[in-house]
Amino acid sequence: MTSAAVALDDVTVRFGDYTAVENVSFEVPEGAFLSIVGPSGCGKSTLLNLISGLGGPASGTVHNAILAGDRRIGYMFQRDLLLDWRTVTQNVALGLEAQGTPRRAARAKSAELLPTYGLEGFESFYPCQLSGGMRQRAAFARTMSTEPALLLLDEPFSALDYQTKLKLEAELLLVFRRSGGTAVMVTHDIDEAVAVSDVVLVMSGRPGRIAAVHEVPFAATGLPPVEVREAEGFGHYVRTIWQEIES
Amino acid sequence: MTTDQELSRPPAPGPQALGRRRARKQDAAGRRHRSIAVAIVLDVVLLVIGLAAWQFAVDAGSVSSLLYGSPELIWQTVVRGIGSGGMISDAITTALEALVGFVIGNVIGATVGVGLWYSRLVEQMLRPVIAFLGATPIAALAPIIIVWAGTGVSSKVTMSAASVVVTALVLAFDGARGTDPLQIRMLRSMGAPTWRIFRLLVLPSSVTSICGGLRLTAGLALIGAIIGEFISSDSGLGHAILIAGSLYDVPTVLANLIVVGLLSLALLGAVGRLERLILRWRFLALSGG
Ligand SMILES: Nc1ncnc2c1ncn2[C@@H]1O[C@H](COP(=O)(O)OP(=O)(O)OP(=O)(O)O)[C@@H](O)[C@H]1O
Ligand SMILES: [Mg+2]
Repeated sequence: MTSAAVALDDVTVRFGDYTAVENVSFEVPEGAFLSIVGPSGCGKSTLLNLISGLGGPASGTVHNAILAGDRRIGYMFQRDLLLDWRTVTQNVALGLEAQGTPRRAARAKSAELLPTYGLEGFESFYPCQLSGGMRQRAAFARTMSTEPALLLLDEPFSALDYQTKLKLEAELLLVFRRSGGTAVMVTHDIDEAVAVSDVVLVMSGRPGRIAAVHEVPFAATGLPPVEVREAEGFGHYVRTIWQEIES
Repeated sequence: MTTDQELSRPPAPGPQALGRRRARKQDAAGRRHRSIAVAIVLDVVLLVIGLAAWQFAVDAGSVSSLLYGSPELIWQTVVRGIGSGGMISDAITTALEALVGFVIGNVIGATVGVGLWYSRLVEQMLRPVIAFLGATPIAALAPIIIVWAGTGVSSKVTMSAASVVVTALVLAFDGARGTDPLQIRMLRSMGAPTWRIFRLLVLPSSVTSICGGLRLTAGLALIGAIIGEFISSDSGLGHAILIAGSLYDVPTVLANLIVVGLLSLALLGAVGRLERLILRWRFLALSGG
């Protein structure tokens, strides 16, 4: 039990009379990358919110070792949520400023980080001057700037074109492995889930339940997500999960 | 056809594309400046035609200059007023009263309005009070304010601030309440306490509405100061208008009203300047198309 960064036990969530999630139990081992896939509205975002401590379950328990400890959580949403009035450097510094780092120190650290996320040369650009991919890069840099021990990702790449998405997946994995943290990602893209995760959780909808759990070997190989998609057995996992969601 | 050429041209990569985008941006800025210039020329042309028609009608005897004044008489009044310095000192008095009232009213209004974001309870307690104040004709309060604040400059400043404060408050509060809830959630998940969310997010999110409040209240501040002068004063444009009105001196009333209009244009211009300075990122977005 000590090795679980996050553990949900028999969790049910209701919104009024509507049961969004029912009897869900799973664990995220420390250092693992877990993905949640499932049909729209099955309660994936609800689960992430629960893990982050925003909102509680109707019944069951949610254990989050990081929330109980030093609270180093990075939450990334489908929308980049950049602040329009802040430049890239200032937006990336927001995470640190939110935690109370003095403004100048936060911005200095942010400026150091930008090259790692491919944002060199865009330091003083405002969000309205950036492409969708660049905006999401900035959002990712902001999320990682606080060196989170737990990364919560809610469809972070779903608004991007395929190429940008593959590139950002590779960068995400690289930074994630180096950080030594734990990650939970929600995605609609089964390919993406199989390519980047150690564990894929398949959910069914109305009410949201866990339909299947797969341990996936590809991410552990350390290959970039593009090449992993070519690996033997990759298609098998994707098809299996696809069928589980369909049924 | 230029459009055909543009369509068939392959997308140019890198710096070339950036350069083209910059050129297009300059084009857009140029077009905007040109359209503003055209609008100003049209304004002036219409104004001249209107004044000429008015003057012609008066000269032909079909409109009485006693009842309606005339451009010539107004002009003479202005020249006389500036020559004696009376009109200038009146304008300065009114402008200062309105400016100080404008600043005080907006500072109080915006501070309270944004601050209400903090407490749902206080906001709901104040809601009927704000509705009540918003429906109170400030002119009706003027005699009471004179009694409280005296007949000097401070009562006019109070009148001006009172005319401004509710509008400023409501706009600032709307701005604060309009903060993106997902952005609030993001900061909360990063571990920011409420007061820091307020400083980093809610306050800057409200700036756009607060600037809107500045623009809306510029005219209100002037009206408030002038109503104050109507009730009791020995100087200011409102004083001059009151005296001239009681003497049925139409050209003087109109001449002073024109000065009031010019003051409001100047105040609006200054607010626009300030807005462009504060909301620089917003104007970047607009010109970026
Ligand atoms: N605050 C709320 N009040 C009422 N119902 C809610 C609320 N939040 C979510 N729901 C409902 O709970 C269900 C699960 O929502 P959730 O956002 O977790 O789905 P999701 O799996 O993330 O969907 P998507 O893939 O479309 O993002 C949905 O049917 C939604 O309508
Ligand atoms: Mg969702």
